[in-house]
Amino acid sequence: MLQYVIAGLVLGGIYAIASAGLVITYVSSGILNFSFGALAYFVARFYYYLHTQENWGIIYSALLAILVAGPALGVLLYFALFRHLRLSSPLVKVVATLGLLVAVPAISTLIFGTQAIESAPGLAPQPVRVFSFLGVAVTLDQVIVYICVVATVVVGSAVLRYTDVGLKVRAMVDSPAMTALSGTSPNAVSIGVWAVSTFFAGLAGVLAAPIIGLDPNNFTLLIAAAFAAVIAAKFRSLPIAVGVGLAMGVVTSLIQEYLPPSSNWTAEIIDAVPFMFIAVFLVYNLVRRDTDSGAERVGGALDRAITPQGANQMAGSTASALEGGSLGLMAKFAGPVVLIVVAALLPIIVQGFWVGLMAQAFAYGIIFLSFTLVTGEGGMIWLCQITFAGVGALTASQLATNHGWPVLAAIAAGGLVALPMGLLIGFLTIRLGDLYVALVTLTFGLLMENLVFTMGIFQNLGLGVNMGRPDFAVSDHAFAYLCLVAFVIVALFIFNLRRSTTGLALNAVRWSPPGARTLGISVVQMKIIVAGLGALVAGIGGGFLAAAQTTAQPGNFATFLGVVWLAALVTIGVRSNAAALVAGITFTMLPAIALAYLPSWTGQLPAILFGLGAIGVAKFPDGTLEQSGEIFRRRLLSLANGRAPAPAGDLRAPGARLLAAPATNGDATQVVEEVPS
Amino acid sequence: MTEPLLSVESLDVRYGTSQALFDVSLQVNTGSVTAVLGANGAGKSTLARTVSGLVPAAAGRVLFDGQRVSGRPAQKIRKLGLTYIPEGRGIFPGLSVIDNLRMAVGQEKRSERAGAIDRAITLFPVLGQRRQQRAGSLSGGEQQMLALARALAVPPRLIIADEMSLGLAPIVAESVFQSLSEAARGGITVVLIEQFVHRALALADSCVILTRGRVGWSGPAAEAGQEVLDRYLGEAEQATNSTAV
Repeated sequence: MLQYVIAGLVLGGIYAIASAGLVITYVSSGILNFSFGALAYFVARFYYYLHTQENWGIIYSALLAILVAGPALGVLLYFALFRHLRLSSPLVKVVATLGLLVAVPAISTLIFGTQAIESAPGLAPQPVRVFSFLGVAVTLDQVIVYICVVATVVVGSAVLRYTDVGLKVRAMVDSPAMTALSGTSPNAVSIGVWAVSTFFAGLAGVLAAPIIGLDPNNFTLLIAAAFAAVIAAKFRSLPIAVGVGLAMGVVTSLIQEYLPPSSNWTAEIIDAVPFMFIAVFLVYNLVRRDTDSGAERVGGALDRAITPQGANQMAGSTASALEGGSLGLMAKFAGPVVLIVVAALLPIIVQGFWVGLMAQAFAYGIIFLSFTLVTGEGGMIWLCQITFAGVGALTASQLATNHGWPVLAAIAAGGLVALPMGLLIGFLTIRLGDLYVALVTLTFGLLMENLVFTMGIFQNLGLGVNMGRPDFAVSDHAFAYLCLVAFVIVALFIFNLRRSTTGLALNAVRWSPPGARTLGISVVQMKIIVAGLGALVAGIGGGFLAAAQTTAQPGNFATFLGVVWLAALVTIGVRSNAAALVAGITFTMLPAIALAYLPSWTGQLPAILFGLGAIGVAKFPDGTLEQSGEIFRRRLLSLANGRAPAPAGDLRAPGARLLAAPATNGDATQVVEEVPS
Repeated sequence: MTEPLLSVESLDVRYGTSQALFDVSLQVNTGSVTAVLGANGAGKSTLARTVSGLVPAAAGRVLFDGQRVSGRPAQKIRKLGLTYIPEGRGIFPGLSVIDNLRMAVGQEKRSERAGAIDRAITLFPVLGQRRQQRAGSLSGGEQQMLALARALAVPPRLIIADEMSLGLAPIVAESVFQSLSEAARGGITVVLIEQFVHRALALADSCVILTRGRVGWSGPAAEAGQEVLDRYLGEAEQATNSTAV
């Protein structure tokens, strides 16, 4: 029993330090840092580089990595990104930090190389000394974790409670505007808070490395587990976050003692325990109704009064459609039609291996359309679209291969199995703020990944289940075209949806749920419609993807891989059907091209590009394709009217002119809903 | 005549698409009390927020004691001695009373802070009994006293008090006015944004009336009475006319 508690306190201590780092930046800037795990990994990798690869001493390596590089990373990111996110919508905050989560591990591979690391030393000298405590063996590494946790709690609470610096931090959490009016710069305090937060990330990373190994995915999962403590603390309470973090570690460890060690389920359940915690705390908050989006705001009434409302919404507008009208149908359809013709020519131009990739690219395009529905139309961040795709793929392969269904019917059935899941999650999350929706869907994905996708019938000893293709489209060529046709059908459906009354209602809901409600639009109904459709489309796309890859491999549908998908789509544009196709092609082709023709280091570039692209939504909420499409439309319009093209400086996200004027600080677009007196 | 302490020149302010202030100019002389009056949405608070550095100016400039302060962040302006008590309680509701006061004197030398806090508590003894209480749980009147105590703990050169009497019982509002007029007698320049027009005018030397983001009238407070009536009601009349059309 005692040995489980001692081991559990180590994991719990790491959770506690990580959740402390997450809570302080949330309360001071309203940003839940999804990239925390990636930052922890980066610092841990840097420590490994210094200590193991460059043979620096432990002390110097630790000082440089944890005390210098960690905080420096925080300051750098503050100036490059977090500073601009303060006033962004929760949606943009989530996407931008997810972008960082995608980009940072790739950047770190670029810097430190791709070598696989078997085991990483901690802060204790090797060989690690072992003590005996009440008959239980305790390693020096574990003792160091305990010391760090105690130091964090003692020093942290003393600084916050008794020092001027702590007072200023607490004041800024209360109201940045009042802090400025009291003569303290909120920016200076923010820089400090971010530096401390990334210090905690680095500390947690270096402490965790000996336990979980130096693999970015493990770090991301570890920190995802620490989210449970943050949610239990309602994002705000440091003591609760730290306490729950410690308790979670111990409980996870104790569960191991009581589960039968031989059962297959035991390993799966242990992996899923942290996400069960998240689910429990989320449900608790749901029941207590502590989940309104008001909790995502920072500061008091004064801060809201001086904040431009609706800044950087990832909402787009109907303006581009309206403009298209003045150009006539020709110009409106020219772009998408040209794109589809080009896409249709691609499988003819390329050969062999690349044709198979084109089929995958079009299948990805279909899955990406589900993001277009849920995020682009519905204005919700769902991180489990990949899970729906996985459900579709696994269902379709079971039905087609093991039950002899026709392939297309199996794919459709896969979509229909995903549909009720989407409806259910949509229904459960309907009244939640954007951040909660992201967390609920992330947890759903992680639970499915750990509890369902790991089942023997889907794993098939790690090979995945075979997935056939329809008899009339067995070759790569034919199947690529089948996928393209399916894409066009779904895209046309979305196009029609957008033009319909339902689409207009969705647009209204996206801009302002309360406003839509006053018009008599049922927000609940609208959101559930897109949620269900999104799951259906993702499921069908997943089926096509499995058929394109000829197997349904559960590992291809890992939840955090879905974050890369989202980043890829958001980079190109989350509001347009064409962007989904372009994103599908880019997402498949870029890595393959890098692999086939370019030096090996370029293999990291796609992830970096997608990550940076997602970060870029803070500036261009509609993505790059929309941006350049807008330029193209302007040119066309001015040619048609016989005028010189509009100056480039005048180009903004579509709808900027209708709904917003340039912000005084030059940041994207802003809309004021009410002018404070 | 001496140089004005605060001078606002042709100020334009925008919140996104909507312009809240148009070409606003005014001067506040050292040691004077100026009342800024206007109907709801006239731009009074926007003016105060811009002068104090919370909201950027789109055009025009603000001079404080001859220095240009527009474009500077709020904390720098505060350090020059311009204190703004925002509308709706200028306190940190989540911090204790004593922490609120500590934040207010944070710019002073360490050795002088305790004295400044004691001075503030002498002004409003009730705060002394509530040192550890969360400021947000004080009554409305006590919160305004805390806001004033925060502003006066280190005597500023200019106080902009935004709707301090809003939502207070008349007797409490009276004591708030009392404190402001004492501060003015003590040599602090005061800009008063108020809904209780007659109270404000009784205290003020000069008056500025904002109408829909523009300076409608400015002059000595003694002459303002009729103007206020015309501006407020005139606007209502205009509005009725425009709806009729």
